[in-house]
Amino acid sequence: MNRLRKKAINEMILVVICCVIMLFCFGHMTAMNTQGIEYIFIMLFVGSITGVVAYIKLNKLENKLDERERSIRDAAAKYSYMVYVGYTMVFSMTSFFLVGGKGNIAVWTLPIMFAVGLLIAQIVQSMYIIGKCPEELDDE
Amino acid sequence: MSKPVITNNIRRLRFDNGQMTQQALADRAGVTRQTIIAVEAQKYTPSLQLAFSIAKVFGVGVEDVFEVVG
Repeated sequence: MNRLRKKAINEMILVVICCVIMLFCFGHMTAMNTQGIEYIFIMLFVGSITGVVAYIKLNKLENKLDERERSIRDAAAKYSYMVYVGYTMVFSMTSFFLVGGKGNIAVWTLPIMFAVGLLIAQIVQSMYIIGKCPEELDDE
Repeated sequence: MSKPVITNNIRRLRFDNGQMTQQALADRAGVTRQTIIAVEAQKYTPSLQLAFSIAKVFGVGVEDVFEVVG
C-alpha cells in the first residue's frame, strides 16, 4: 500500500481513538458533574492524550514525506480546514442562533459538537489523501 | 495566456542509463517511486531542488531533463 495512504489511515484511527476517549471523559464529567481536583485531572488526561496525538501527527507521520506527498497533504489540510469552519458555522453557530440559549441547548452537546467536528475534518483529510494517492504502479 | 507545459525526458534518460528503474532513480533523488511516476507522467511538476537532483543523478543539466513547451 502507498505509504501516504497508510499514514492517512493511521491518522484517522488515531483521531477516532482520541475523540472516543475525549467523549468518554467529557461524558463522565457531565454525568458526575465533576468539580475541583477531579475536573482538573480529567482535563489534564484529555489534554495529554490530545497532545500526544498532535505530536505523532506533526512529527512521526510527516517527517518522512517527500515534496509531492507534502503538497497532497497540504491540499488535504486546506479542504479539511474549510469543512471544519463550515461545520462550525452551520451546526454550531446557527443552532445557537435558531434555537437560542436560555437552557435550550444542553451543555453535554458542546463536547460532542467539538469531537464530531474534529472527526469530520480528519475524515475529509484522510479521504482526500486516499483519493489523490495513485495506486502502486508497475515499474516501466 | 495559456500556461506553459513542462515536459521531461526522464523515461528516455533512465533507459539511456542502463535501464535504470524508477525505484533506483527515486532512491538516488531522495523521493518515493510514486513521485517519480507522477513526474514522468507529467502529473506533478517538481520543485527546482528535485529537478536539479534528478538531473544530477543522470549527470546532465536540468535543461536536458526538463523542457518548457508553449
